[in-house]
Amino acid sequence: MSMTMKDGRRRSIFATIAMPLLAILWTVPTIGLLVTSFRSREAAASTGWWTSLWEGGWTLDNYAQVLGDPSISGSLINSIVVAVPATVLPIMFAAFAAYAFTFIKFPAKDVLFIVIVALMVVPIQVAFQPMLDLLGPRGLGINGQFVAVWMLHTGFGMPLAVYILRNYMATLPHSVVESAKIDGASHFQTFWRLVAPMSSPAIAAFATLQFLWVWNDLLIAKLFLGGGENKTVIVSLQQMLGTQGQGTELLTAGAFVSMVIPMLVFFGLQRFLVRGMTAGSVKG
Amino acid sequence: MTRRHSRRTIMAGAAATAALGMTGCLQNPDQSGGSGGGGGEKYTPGDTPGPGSVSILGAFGGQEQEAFLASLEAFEADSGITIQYTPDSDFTNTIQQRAGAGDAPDIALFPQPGGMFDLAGKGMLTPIDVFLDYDQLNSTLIPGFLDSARLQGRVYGAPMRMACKSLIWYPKKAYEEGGYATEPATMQELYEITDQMKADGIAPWSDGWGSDQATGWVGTDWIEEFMLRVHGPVVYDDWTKHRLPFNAPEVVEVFDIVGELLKGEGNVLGGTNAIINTPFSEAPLPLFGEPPQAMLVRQGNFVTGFFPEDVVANMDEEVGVYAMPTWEGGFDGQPILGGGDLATLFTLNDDTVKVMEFLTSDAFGAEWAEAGGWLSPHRTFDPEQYSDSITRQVAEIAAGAAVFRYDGSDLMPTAVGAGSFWKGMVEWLQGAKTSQEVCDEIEAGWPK
Repeated sequence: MSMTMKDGRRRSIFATIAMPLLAILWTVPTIGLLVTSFRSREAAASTGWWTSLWEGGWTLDNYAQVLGDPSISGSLINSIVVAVPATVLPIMFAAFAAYAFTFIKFPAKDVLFIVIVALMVVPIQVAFQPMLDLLGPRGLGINGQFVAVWMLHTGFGMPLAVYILRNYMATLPHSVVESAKIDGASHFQTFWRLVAPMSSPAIAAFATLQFLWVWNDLLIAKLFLGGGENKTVIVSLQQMLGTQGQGTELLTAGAFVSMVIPMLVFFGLQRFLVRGMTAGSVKG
Repeated sequence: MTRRHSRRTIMAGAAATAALGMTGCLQNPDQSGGSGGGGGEKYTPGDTPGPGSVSILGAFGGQEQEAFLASLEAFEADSGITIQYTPDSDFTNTIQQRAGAGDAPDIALFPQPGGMFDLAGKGMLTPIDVFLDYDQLNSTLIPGFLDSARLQGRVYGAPMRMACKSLIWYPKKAYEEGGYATEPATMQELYEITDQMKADGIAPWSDGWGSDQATGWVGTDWIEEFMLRVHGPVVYDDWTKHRLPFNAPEVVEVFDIVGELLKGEGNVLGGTNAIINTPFSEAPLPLFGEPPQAMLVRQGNFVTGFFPEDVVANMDEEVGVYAMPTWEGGFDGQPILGGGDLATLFTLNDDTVKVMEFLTSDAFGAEWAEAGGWLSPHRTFDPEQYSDSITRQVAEIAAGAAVFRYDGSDLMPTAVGAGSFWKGMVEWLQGAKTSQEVCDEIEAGWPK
């Protein structure tokens, strides 16, 4: 390893040591989980995962049982059906709203924005009972269908999305939008041709957060989608537990199975998102 | 307390009424006498035709779910009813939220009576005497079960599974090699055996209380077991129903007796720290080590599900069990502490009634018994259907009990039974508080 970086600056010894150390520290729990997922229940209960190299206790049974569960493949698909619209919808609406908050003048704009930002602090738990009433048999009767969960995730994802996107759009060069206006572009054209591509880093960042949150969500999925045919993979995993928590060893394996799809999505999208970022840059 | 007639006694013919009324008196004193005019009419099949499918919400998933569904297959084929079972390990909260939003399942299987009483009090549940033959059911069940599901004179749930808690497990081979007696008649005799073990250089007991947010429930079981043994069922009932204050001298005495066992030098493997830090599911593992590090575990029948796989494969040769013996100078009969899943009805129609009849009958569960880890709450359940002789032995212990009592912490208000009692046990075991202090605190926190 050379002592200088590409641009000629010296490498900091502190950073060279601290960075890998932090990276390892942060990854240790995940590695522990991974190792435990390949160990039998007794081995995991009697010895620590770090001793597994010499203590043994390896098994593929946990994965075999999780993947052998007939409901897993169906619920993986359900999770995708839930997560994709629940990511796309809030971003779409929030991007429109953020555009309006940034580039359009209308009365009470600041007050409205403050109200939306204030909504971020409303915890989703306080809304459960009214939402169950509204979406359940006493209200719309769509509880248990995907559309109920899409609506909830969209609603509760929006305030943060509006906030992040508006703040990002405010940093975009106004001159670009103004020149588009002079050239006769409508708001619609300005949004799709200029602002949306230029905001792709913020959109990508929020999409990552929202997708992960929806994918890992247990509470909303369980209450509004139920444990029946439409259940998501997280609900499926929770259903593998017995009365006294029998089957906890399956959860470690299940966690990794449920991680696979988000990982594929992000590693697949990463390049595309980075490319979008650079392609959207503007020349002054 | 208002006492209500079972509607069946009103509807039946005059002669039958007299006869049944009398048997009802003998078996079910709370139900007979007093004013009539209860809320529920006796359900007659045909009143409300069913939609052909019944939804059930329960707390157990995984292998238990598979065995449960297997036990229902033949019934579904015969009756043409489809059963949709949804497990939820957070059952206690889910049922409250779903019922509150009008989205209750047709049938719910409550693992503890506490949450059931909440919903029954709101009038959401149908008392079982409306659609089940109460006396018939009571005559085959282990006595005392239905009383645990009684609220203001009416019973809202019938058990479909039993947990038997007063069991002491030991590793058969090592135990027999050590030459220890397997049938202590009293706890005092058992203490002599444990002294022998200590002299042989092995810790007699292994215990674990760890259970995430529920840590401490194993401790409450210890107290309940000794309350039942030292003071007998009458005092026990007074205690769980709060007719006896929690800090009564009887209760404090029991805390001290349990303390002598659990906190005694060398009694429990690893001492009190190990008890708190070991998950209850891992307590039996030291029994089956090479060589065993401990000899005895007191835990319910469900603990067999946490034994090592090679032991489970060879249950009858590897594992021995006996009932936790009586207390010399205490209650004479053999008491058994237990629990059960209570089936309750939200939606009343032909199909749900048929499912309830089957679930709560002694005909239910042959497949589950075969799969293991399940006990029928019925004395009349054919023990040959259990897959190993250990389970048969446990069933015998439960059926032969002089008194059967429901787990006391499940009967107490949630703030105590699933709160201050658990927490108090942990503080008490750690030695942060004395028996008297803990009991005073729990008493002070009892909901008025």
